[in-house]
Amino acid sequence: MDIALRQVGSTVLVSFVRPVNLEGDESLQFRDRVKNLIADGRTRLVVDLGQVKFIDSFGLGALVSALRVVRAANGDLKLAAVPQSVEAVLRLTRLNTVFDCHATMEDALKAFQAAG
Amino acid sequence: MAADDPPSPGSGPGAGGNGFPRDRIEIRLPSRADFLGAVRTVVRGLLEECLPVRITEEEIHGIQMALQEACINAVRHAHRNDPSVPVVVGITARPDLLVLEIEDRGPGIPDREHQPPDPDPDNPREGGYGLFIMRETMDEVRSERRGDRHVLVLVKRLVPRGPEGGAGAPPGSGT
Repeated sequence: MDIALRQVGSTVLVSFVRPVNLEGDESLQFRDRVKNLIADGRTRLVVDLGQVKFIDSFGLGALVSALRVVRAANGDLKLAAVPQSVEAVLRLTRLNTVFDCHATMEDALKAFQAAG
Repeated sequence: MAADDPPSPGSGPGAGGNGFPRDRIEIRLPSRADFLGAVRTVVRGLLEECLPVRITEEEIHGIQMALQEACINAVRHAHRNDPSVPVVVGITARPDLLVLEIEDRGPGIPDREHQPPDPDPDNPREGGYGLFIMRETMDEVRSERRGDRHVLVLVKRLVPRGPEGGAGAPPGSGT
């Protein structure tokens, strides 16, 4: 799973380099990468889901796990460019009310900047 | 068998003259999570290409999700990712009914997990969404023992396309 990182100020933008299914063990790789970022002190994260074609319960668990860890570190994780199919799963599992979702990376970044 | 009962393999109206079911596909795959996308694609193809049904993209995606959750449960929990142990996916496809049977060699779903709690947005869990997703997206979810095998049966009732040929919202691309 190829993940690209871009730092803008104190926020790290996380995106997938190519189309990916966030499922099974693949999602655990993603979770561990994000947790490593948090362990390195980077606690303002935007995850761009634009390349995610499919997500299953493991993918959802990975996102929730990352969110819990980053919030425990007094940071936050926002989602950007959530595809319709992923958004449907978030709604189904009520996780759409847990994650702060934005149309684009830039919008998510602005939300972080507005929060100070 | 009641009219609404899902057909059993090799019998009932779906059986052909030699006993081989004419509306059933079986896929036998190693317990590898990276093979599951192909199985999801087969089900999408059946629904989009082979069945005269009214179905929306959301419904197709829901069926694919339920299938994924059942299969990943077999691969990871029942077979502990051992690729030498096969998962058998049976797909019975009729214009009014889709039955997915996911067979593994594990002990089945523990009783305590049969009624998973609803997701709690105030205290989101990291796991336990699989069975919830299956129950939300399918009309029926059953766990059965067949000899030494465990079979998760997922049933989705379909709406046959009328003579006018109208269909639901056009399905989009996906896996």
